Amino acid sequence: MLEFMLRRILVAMPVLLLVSLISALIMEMVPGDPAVLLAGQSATDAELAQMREQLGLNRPFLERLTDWYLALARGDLGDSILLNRPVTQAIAERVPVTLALAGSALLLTVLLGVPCGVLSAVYANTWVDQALLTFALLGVSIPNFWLSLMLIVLFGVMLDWLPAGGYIAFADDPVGWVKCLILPAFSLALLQVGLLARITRSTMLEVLQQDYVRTARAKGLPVFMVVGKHAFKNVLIPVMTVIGISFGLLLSGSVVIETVYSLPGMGRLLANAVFGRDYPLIQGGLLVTAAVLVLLNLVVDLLYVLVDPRVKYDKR
Amino acid sequence: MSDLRVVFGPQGREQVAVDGVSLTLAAGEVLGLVGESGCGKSLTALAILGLLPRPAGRIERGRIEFRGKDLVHASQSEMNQVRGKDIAMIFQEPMTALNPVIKVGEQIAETIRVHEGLPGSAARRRALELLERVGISNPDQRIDQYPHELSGGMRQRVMIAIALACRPKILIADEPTTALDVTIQAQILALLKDLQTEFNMAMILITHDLGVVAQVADRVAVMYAGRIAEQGTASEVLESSAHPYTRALLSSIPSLEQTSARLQTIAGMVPSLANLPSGCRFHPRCKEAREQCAQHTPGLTALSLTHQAACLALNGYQTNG
Amino acid sequence: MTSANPENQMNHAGVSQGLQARAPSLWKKLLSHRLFMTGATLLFFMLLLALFADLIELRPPEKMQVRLRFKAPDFPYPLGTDNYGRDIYSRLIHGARLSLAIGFAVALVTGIFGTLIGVSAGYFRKLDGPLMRLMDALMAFPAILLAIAIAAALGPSALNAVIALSVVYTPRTARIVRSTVLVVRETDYVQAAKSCGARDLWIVWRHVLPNSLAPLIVQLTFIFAYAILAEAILSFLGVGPPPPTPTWGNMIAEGKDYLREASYICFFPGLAVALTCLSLNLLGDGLRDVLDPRLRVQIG
Repeated sequence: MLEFMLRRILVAMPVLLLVSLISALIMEMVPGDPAVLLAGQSATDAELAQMREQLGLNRPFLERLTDWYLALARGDLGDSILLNRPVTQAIAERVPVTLALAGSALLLTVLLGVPCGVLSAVYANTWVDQALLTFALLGVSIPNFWLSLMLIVLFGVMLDWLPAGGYIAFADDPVGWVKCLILPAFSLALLQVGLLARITRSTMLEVLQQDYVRTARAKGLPVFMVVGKHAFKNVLIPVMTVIGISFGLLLSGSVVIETVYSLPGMGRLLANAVFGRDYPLIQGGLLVTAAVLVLLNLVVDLLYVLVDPRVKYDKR
Repeated sequence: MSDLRVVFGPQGREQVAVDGVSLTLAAGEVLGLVGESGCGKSLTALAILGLLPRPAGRIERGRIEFRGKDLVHASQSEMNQVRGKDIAMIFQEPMTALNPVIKVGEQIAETIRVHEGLPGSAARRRALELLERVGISNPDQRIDQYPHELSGGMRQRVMIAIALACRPKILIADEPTTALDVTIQAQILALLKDLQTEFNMAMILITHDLGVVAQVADRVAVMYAGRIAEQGTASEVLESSAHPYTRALLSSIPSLEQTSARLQTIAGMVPSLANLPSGCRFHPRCKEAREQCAQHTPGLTALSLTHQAACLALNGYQTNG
Repeated sequence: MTSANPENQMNHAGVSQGLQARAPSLWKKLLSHRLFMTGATLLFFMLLLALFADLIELRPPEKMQVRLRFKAPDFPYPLGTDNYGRDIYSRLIHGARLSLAIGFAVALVTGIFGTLIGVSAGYFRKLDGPLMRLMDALMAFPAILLAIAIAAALGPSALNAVIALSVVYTPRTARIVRSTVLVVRETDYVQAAKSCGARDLWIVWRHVLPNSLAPLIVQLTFIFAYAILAEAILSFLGVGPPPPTPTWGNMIAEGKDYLREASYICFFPGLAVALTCLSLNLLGDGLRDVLDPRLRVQIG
């Protein structure tokens, strides 16, 4: 088991390196000058030159890249140009927020999506199915940032039940923390719920056609056992992969929601970094994001091994 | 079962898969249901337990009675009382018929828990006994294994154990040996016969293999294209067959004493459900067919108290006016 | 052998049926599919609005009438006015033009490049490895971030939005095309053509492409929908076509600050996006149902 994990992590390394290389290249080729953004539009050329000197932008690309990798080996991601703080610190502050958001969105997605999919399949082609499918369809079509705004209007302004934005840390006020996450989590989860419900439904439909379901029925087992035990266990396996992918999508899609709800998360951090050409922050942030996604894939693979008795981890 | 009619497909565009089949089964008796692939024998069996593939298949007509109880119109919960407990079924492909992610022992034990209300430990003990009874070595090891860890023969034995867990009155075996190696086939058959005598179960053995039927069955029913061609005791049907189809089937079995070079076959192919021949369904392939055969569908003519066949030749090709 | 992955199933079943044999009844099936027709009608309606925007606008979309700011929806401003006093209705239908055009352009470009890459990778084994590594690397970036990065890098404009979104969606399309091509490559008629000595390019053009089209078209419909959503997001974040050009995303972005007083500024453009995406999704679903029927219980 340990060997399996180590092997997977080792394989992931080159991918991470590739990711950081590509992002460095993109940023290099891209026009835009952080010096200008920092010093302001009205700075003189001399001031700009001085700023660039300070930021180390004058040095050749390869030199900067190597320095960055070397620093990475020491665990140092450099300092953010715009925020004037170590990148690691900036990221560390934001990560919990994004994780809280994505995590609660994932919980919502699974709690809503899977039962909907199962019900939809069991009652296939009845009004229940149609209703749930329509709901799923709406989820995929409605732009979530727009829905967020509408929800803010409804719950934040008109009814005033929930805060319209901002983040309250769990340590400060647990109830407030939950409250401020409800709307964002829901908006973020919207798209994924639809997708998960549909995939659960089609997987379930397929499973219900299988011979072993017929055997289970032939044994005279009650419906809830046939569906809940025999069918469901087999549905879980592919659905888990989708849940893993969903989490990845939730993490990356958090940018917009964080912007709308003014949550200080990773997504917004990275977006602002891109706008401001804050290279160290971009590099560091993308690396961390990619690493998290890789870790996620690893966890999903592990879960796969645990849930499906047919898969042995030494097979890979 | 009387006059069973099973159809497939949406209203108005349906195909008849089983057309007017009547069968009786006495306690402790083994009925062999024989026919080529696609003749409707499996569907007949599935209909008994209400397991026709939904939403396409349904019973359009006919009665199925078990000990006075109407099985066609029974509710799902009533049927669940019958399934597994009074009437059990084993299927052809043990690999797909067993749930791949649930341990083998659990698949046996759950039937016991559900139908007899035994607690987990007692059910597990029964499962162990059953595994032993069906001839699986190292039952205490096997009971916690998954289907993919067992061989084909062992899986079929597990299926049998599951079916017999609650001592059903009737066992329906749908081609239990077709997917197995020849050597294992004989073992499984012997096991089935053994268990059938021991538990005094009635059994419906569905197969396309006349050899199997000859060994095990008390009575035989031969089906063709959704209808019964001939039925009677095993010796009547196999030794004094009355229907041309049965005779053709028997003669197509290669025997060691055969001197002719070519294997006997039945010319033509089984008709598809969408293109059933008029009149007697076998007439396009029948050597003894006459004009009347294409126009009139033969009913079952009684040849003795127990023996019947559906062929116009038995009436001198006369049709009932 | 059943694969639990619905995507794989779809490709296998659709491809093995082939398009040729079912061409005559295809249109009939499409036209009788309720959801498809709903989506198609809705989309058609949108297209009409966009095409004839100039004719059916009530007043020019850029015209600011500061005295008439924040008028609630009411005749003669059926959808109200925004913070600059511009008529929302007129802006909406002009925005339809741009948003639909961008969405369509993305679908087109993605389709072309995705097919090129997918077919090359699927058919020519030597190209498969490097091409797919590149695609995987691109897909490792979170989609939105990549789009933002590219759009921010190139500057805010409609063209750059198209480029950015195409880069994001091409790898996904290439993947789907590739998996279809992998299946088609093994079919009998391709093998037969090869054994007759036909040249690879000819085989690709004549056999592989037509039979890979079905899943591709379905996918492109969905990409059209995603692109419209994504363009709205990009504009919302400020990296799409710059104001005062009306796009649906821009309108939502501008209205964001006035949620309390005039929520309708955001409401209508968002609704437009939702309806358009909905119609496209219905279209895609209908196409998929017709081109590749789900496995129902079969007789026999």
